[in-house]
Amino acid sequence: MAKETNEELNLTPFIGLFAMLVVLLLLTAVWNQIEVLSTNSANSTASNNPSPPSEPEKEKIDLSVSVLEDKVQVSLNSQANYFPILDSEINKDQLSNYMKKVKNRYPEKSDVLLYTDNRIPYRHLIEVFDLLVGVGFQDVGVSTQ
Amino acid sequence: MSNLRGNIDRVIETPGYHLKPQYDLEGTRARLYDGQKKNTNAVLPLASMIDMFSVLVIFLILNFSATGEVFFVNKDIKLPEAKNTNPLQGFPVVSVAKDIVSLDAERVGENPLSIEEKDYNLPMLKASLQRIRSIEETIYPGREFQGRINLQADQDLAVVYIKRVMNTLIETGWVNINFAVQPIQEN
Repeated sequence: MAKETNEELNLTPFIGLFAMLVVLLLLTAVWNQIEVLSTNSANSTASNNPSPPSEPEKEKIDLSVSVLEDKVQVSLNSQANYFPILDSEINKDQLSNYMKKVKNRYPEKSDVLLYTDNRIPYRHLIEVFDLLVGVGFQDVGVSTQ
Repeated sequence: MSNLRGNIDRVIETPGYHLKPQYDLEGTRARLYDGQKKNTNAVLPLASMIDMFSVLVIFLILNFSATGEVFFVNKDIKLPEAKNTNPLQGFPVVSVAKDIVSLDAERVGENPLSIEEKDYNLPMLKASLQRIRSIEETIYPGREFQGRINLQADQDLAVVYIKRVMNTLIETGWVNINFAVQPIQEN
């Protein structure tokens, strides 16, 4: 007569393994996700070090964005456009649409200089910075003047 | 159907317990058949426990960050939010709170500057940055100094304080500045 075999899986090592994994993962878990917006260093210091005239045949495009207390000013080749800041909120849709038009007009242009008024809150700087990167201007320089 | 059979007036009943009452061990019978006493060989159901651990492990693995960054967020700082972000990397961290500037959680100077003031000098921060730069250049002698640094600041702080710190950073060669932000989760 065949003997009765005990077919139960031994779960103790599994429990040990899982317990160790849980402890390890809990200890190394990053609960607060933080990311960064990177400045373009060459562009940041552009105000102090003018770029060399390496390609004179290309059309020079001067593009800068100034965040003031009550408005955002976009200067494109000495032509300025204004976007009012109401109740301390930047009208991102309007600004984004305009910057997209600029990007479509000059698709090779990827650098822009960002000026800020000393009194504005830091989040306004980041909001405009983020918007510019989102539109496609990857090289955003922040002026410290 | 009736239980009565045959012609004799008697009742054929279903047999009961066969022991004579004088030999009946009521306690033994109760233990054997009534089920009052349970089997004492208890087994812990481990399958559900394994399930729980599995779910926990999967959740933690999904939230695991292999980059191993350590980023000290000052309790007084509420980071601004942004969408188009890059992953955080392990560079030195300059924190600018309402009344203090710190480098890698080490206090390096107060921040009582009036907005009207034009003095951007932060000598303690500058000295600390130069010290870190010299350490980095000693560790990697042949490599060009990259000057990459993370900057975190409170979202409501006036930009003048950030500019002041940025000026000090650029002066000491830390030109690749990364602004720490809270990423906006897109659905």
